[in-house]
Amino acid sequence: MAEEGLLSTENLVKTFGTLRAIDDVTLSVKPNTITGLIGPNGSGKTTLFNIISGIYSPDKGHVYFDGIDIDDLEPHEIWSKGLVRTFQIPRLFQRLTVLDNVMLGSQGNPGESFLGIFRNWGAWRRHEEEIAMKAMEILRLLEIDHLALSPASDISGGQMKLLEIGRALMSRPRMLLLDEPAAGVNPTLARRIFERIAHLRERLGLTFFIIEHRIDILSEHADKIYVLHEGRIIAEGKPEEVVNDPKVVGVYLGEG
Amino acid sequence: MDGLAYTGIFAISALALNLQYGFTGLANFGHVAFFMVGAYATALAAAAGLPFPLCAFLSIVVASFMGIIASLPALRLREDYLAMATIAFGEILRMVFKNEEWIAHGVWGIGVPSAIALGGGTREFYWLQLLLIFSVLALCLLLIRIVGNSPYGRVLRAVRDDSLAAEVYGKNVFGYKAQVFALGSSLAGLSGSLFAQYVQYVNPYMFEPTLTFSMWIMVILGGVGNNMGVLLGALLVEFFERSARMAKDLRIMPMDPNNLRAIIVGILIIFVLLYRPGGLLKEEKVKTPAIKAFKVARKGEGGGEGEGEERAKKILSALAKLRECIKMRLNSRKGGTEIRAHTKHGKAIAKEDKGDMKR
Amino acid sequence: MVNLAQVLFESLVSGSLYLLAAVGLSLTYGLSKFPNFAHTEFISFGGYISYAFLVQLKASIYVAFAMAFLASGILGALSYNILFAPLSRRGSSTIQLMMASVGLGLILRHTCMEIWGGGILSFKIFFPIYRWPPISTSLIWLLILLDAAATALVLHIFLKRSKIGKAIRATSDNPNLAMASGINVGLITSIGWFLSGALAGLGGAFLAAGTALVPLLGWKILLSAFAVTILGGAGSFYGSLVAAYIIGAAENLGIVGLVSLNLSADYRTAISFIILIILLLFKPEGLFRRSGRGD
Repeated sequence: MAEEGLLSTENLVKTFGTLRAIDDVTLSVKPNTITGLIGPNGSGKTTLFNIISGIYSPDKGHVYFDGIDIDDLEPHEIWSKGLVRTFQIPRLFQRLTVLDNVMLGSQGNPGESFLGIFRNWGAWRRHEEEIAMKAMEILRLLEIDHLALSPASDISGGQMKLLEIGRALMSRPRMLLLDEPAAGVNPTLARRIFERIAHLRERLGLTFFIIEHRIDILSEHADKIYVLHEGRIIAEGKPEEVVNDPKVVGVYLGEG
Repeated sequence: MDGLAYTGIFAISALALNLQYGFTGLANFGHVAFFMVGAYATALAAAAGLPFPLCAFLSIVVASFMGIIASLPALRLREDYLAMATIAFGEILRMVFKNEEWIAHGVWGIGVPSAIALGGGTREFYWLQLLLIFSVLALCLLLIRIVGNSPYGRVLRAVRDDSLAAEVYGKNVFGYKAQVFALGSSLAGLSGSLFAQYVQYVNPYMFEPTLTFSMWIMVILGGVGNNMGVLLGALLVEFFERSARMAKDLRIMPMDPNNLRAIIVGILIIFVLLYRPGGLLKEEKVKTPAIKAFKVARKGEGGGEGEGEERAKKILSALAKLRECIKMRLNSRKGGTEIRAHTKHGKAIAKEDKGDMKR
Repeated sequence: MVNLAQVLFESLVSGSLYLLAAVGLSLTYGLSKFPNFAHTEFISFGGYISYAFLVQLKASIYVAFAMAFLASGILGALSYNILFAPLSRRGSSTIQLMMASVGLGLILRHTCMEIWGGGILSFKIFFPIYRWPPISTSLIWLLILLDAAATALVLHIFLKRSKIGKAIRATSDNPNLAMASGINVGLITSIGWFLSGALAGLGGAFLAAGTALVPLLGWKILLSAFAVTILGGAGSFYGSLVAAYIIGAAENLGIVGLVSLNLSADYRTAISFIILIILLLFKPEGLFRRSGRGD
């Protein structure tokens, strides 16, 4: 393992055809921190998240979560270890209600197996009440509880982003991978989202790894930032160091 | 009466298809294969002298077994590929029954004794058949309702809406799909078994892919994801079928009623897809008991009266208590233990709340 | 004793038929991204139209086949513009589009049955049989071969050289990109559907002339046509050319195998179904497309 961290990757490589989307990425996210991941479009940020969350398996290298090698695990197995992600473009269960969406994030619902419905007849009913309340609590926290019973397809883009985060929180995560949590929402809300994130880290001891384009907001809260360019880490360090790094500035200006 | 019996039989298959497609999003276009397997299993078992309940049971087992065989490789496919693969699977299976005469006399078909040991055609016979078919239908409906309104059913819909997100949120998508495929196939097998004993004869021409399409039409017309809608769809399709047949006997139509029926059904599908893509009846929401309570709570908030309000108040106060609790916890301590504490408390409150409700 | 030359020749003939049936299917699959279950009804429709002109109106065979081409083409364009385009605009899923095509198929098939009856119709043309040992063939088979070759050649030139053809390929590859580069995607897709219907109709006319005309004419080759489409890679013209002959050969050589195994020759179509299933499972992007694309 590279460094002691809750999540770390070691020499990750992923190629698509001739494109090296992820090229020898080694990084480490320490527990109870907010770590940022920035980079121009197409630099491989989401691909990296897809590898960590088990959607892709890496061609080379390893991903460790809490000391365990997780790169062979299926996404649902990684989730149950407490490593939970959100999506850049919200992937909600469109035809289900907002409340259902959040409730689906809960761990260990006894009524979610076919035999469980009958075997744990009483148990899952109790569990349902419990998670419904917890879900409402989360929705209240995100200030979208008034939408609890409307279909997820009927809410606004910003609310969808919040709901994604809510569903992730419901999973009792130890660590969250957030893919652009503040994209497409207005600046005030974006700030509020990041304040919430900072709160959650403090109060629940969560660890965050966040892709974000709004470097200004991210820098206010992040402990460390990695910069990805063409699949490689070109800079890492404290936000102020990274932002002033000539290589990083070059990459962003070059792109613009 | 004959029409009602067919409606009941096909409704079971259509319900099974709705479980697969409407709830889980599995586009099974080879549904008739499992229906056929069920019918033949009953036919062969009955020929070996087994009583009907045993035959039906065997049909369920064999059909779900076939479902598992078909589904395990196919379920990772994109939906249109799954559709083509299942339709091809069904046709191959039908060809086997057609050409391998040693199984069930090939194209000559095979006779099946009725489950009701009365001579066919009498009034009692039909009544008893209807009783049998509709009690099985009711049981299936009950099963599907329970499954649909459980957290399990919610996961199925999640798999349908976005299987990648479901996978990332800890649902073993492949496992769920395989289970639903097997369950749907076994119900199709059961309905095939009822079909065989009712018609008392099976041959391979009864199970052409058009039958799958007509089950699909029942689902699409009636309401994808809505069981009552599917029953309505089954009734409609069967009604068209019957009236066409009756009109044919009476020779009152200027054109062949069979063609007219097919054309009307075709137009109906297209109109439903264009103007009411969810089908005639809309999809039902998942209604687990907790969600029901919540709805009541909602109404209470709006200033309702009576019993509903009472319950709602209790739930709302429980929620408030929960919130207080979490706040207290959060303020008093830091660190990861909260998460656990917070649920423990949730449980305690939920129990309290239940106690209240009972009183 | 198996006459291998004859088997290979027949493979060529059925391959040509599949080519005529599947080229259009592949075209619309690529453009509209769903398997059109009504495609085979376009084939039957072409058969019936040519019958109407040839037998009922006593027109010449050229007129009859030209009308089959035109009428089915218009039918294809209409079904896109009236049915599938509005559905896609309303955000229908692949499955809903498929079901709509099933509905359309029902309407078309039974309209044909209403007009021409459900029985078997024959063109009552005698096609001379030629015997060139070891091969014997009827004139219509040679015409089918010729037609397939001509179709392939014309389409090749059309898709490679003409502006519309290039636009069709671009739209099929990436509709958004095509739209961004100024292609009228709606119009191009309509033209694609016209072509698809027209080729199906022409194929249907030949099929009807070569065998006989029954309402289920097209249905019997639907799955084989799907197999060709998938084998060639949905939307890939050259892929479906090669795939048609592979499937044709597989079926005809398969019969020889079946007979020698004492199995019924009825399993002939099962061969393409099995190929279809295996392809879908292991190589759904087809043989002639780089993997990782089109999904």
